[in-house]
Amino acid sequence: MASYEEVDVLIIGAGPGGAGVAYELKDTGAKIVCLEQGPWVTAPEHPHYHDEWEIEKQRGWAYDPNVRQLPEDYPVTGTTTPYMMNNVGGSTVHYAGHWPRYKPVDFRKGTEHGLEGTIDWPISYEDLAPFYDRNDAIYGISGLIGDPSYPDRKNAQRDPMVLPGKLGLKYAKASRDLGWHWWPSDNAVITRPRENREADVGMGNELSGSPTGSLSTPAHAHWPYNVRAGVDLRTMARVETITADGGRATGAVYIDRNTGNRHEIRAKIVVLAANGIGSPRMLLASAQKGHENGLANSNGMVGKHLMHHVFSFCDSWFDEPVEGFKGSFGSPMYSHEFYHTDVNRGFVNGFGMQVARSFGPSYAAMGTHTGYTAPWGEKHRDFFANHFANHLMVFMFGEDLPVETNRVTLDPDVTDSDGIPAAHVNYELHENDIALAKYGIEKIFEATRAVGAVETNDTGVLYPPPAWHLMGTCRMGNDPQDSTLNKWCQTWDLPNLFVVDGSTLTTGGAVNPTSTIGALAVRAGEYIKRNHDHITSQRTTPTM
Amino acid sequence: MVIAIRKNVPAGKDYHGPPLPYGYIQSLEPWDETTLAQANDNGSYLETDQVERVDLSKVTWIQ
Repeated sequence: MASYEEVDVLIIGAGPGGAGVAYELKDTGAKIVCLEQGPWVTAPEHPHYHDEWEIEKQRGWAYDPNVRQLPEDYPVTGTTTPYMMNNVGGSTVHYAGHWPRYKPVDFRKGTEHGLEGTIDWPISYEDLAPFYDRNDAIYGISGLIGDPSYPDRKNAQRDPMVLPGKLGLKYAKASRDLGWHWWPSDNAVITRPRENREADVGMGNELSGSPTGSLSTPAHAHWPYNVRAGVDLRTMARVETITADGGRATGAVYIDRNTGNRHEIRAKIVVLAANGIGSPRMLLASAQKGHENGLANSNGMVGKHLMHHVFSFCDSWFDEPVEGFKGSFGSPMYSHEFYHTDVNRGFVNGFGMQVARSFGPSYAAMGTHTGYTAPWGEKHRDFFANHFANHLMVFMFGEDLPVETNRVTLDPDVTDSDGIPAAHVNYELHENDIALAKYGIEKIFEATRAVGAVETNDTGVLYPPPAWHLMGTCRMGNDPQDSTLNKWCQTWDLPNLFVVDGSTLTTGGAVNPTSTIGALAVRAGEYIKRNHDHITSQRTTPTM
Repeated sequence: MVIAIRKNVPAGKDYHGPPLPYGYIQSLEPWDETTLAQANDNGSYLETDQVERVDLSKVTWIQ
């Protein structure tokens, strides 16, 4: 290595965690570099204007990197279908944008039941609430304040709600008629224009991102401002090793994917934000003298307690138009009627019912979400006419237990294109998760049949689960023995090494995690901003 | 195909193919005030200091 450069803060990964920390630090005068192994996806690369828009979801815009196999992707082996994008904005460039928060109880699941590997968070909902509000303002969130299933959120900024359409109104009626909780969803979709971003036009297909910026992602909401303020964002920069000396991280070695050359950056503080699979992979791949089991892994916890949420897809068809091809993702409305633990059901934890939009005719013909494929031949036309746009899909979206043996390790045989070991995932459904999901399927169809569903189909409990949410693998905790991070996202082993992404989440709740990841990023960023000099001199990670 | 769907499929009369540039904002039903007013009728949460140990003897898989 001929030379190195020195910075104040090195961030690895340009998704919600890295972008959020950079946003908090961008005006401090600190020298900040962010390394992102993928590109900054440009508007014309999205498929929204093209006739083949639905086919692209199965190839270039497939959510699974093992299917997509773009140059910036790395293999993920094992029992998994990971939802992961490697680009500026991370996997949000591909997410639905449904934007619920955790509830207070989600931070105290160790107290509530403590089953398998469940522990309490080291912070409470009240600790995080102001950071949720700040994060929401940065992204741009639409929705309606006042959901009685949450504490008051009067300081949260909201654009007007996305329009429900027939689909949203139908499940709202079902929930109302049954006396269940329901509420219009918060969505990371702007309904009023912002600088360089257009308001949503009810387009759908946010699962292939948004070329207009109506989907709120760090690619639109953070990075233009971070870069303008002087943050040095380097795309096509793949980190090979995080370096350490004694009890402190010293920086990283990365490969410039344009040239193949290696470079070293030394940093006073390192923030790892490479997602719930990528971050443990990077820590384990950075094993070195003094850290033979990987960085931040003296207690062997890195990679363990992987959570994905437990899912079932529940399709219902009606004999009248539902028009699911219209409207914005993430979701028009949701029900948290069964969110809280009720042990009289025979299991702990709970689930949400999240109403989803549909796509276009290819989606209908190929079986929607549950593999109910239109027959070929003379019956095809009738089937299509009776099913296209008469369809309503609800996710049974449950909280899975953080089981220790559900984990990310390094694959001993498979590497990425630069020779870095692939991630390997072991994930088994727990009996509690299966019982929860079966109960949830019954409840969803109880609702859709109450409002006239004439046909239903479901996936059962999905295995492997759609690994849309990658959580828990470097979790926060109160005790250095059962967690990887303290309450400020500092690793217990190296106080100037932070992890801020889905791996940070101690438990998963029964909600989409990105708003919580973003709030934690704002909080960690503020902590670094206020304590930079102190952190750079810490020899041990604070427990309080 | 888009023309055929619009002409022949009852629920597809508004379908226009690729999501952009038009979207569907002009033909989506909004929330109405009556419906929204009823959304407040159900739902609650536990405060942080209300969270306590549940009776695990009722959890079926532990038996």
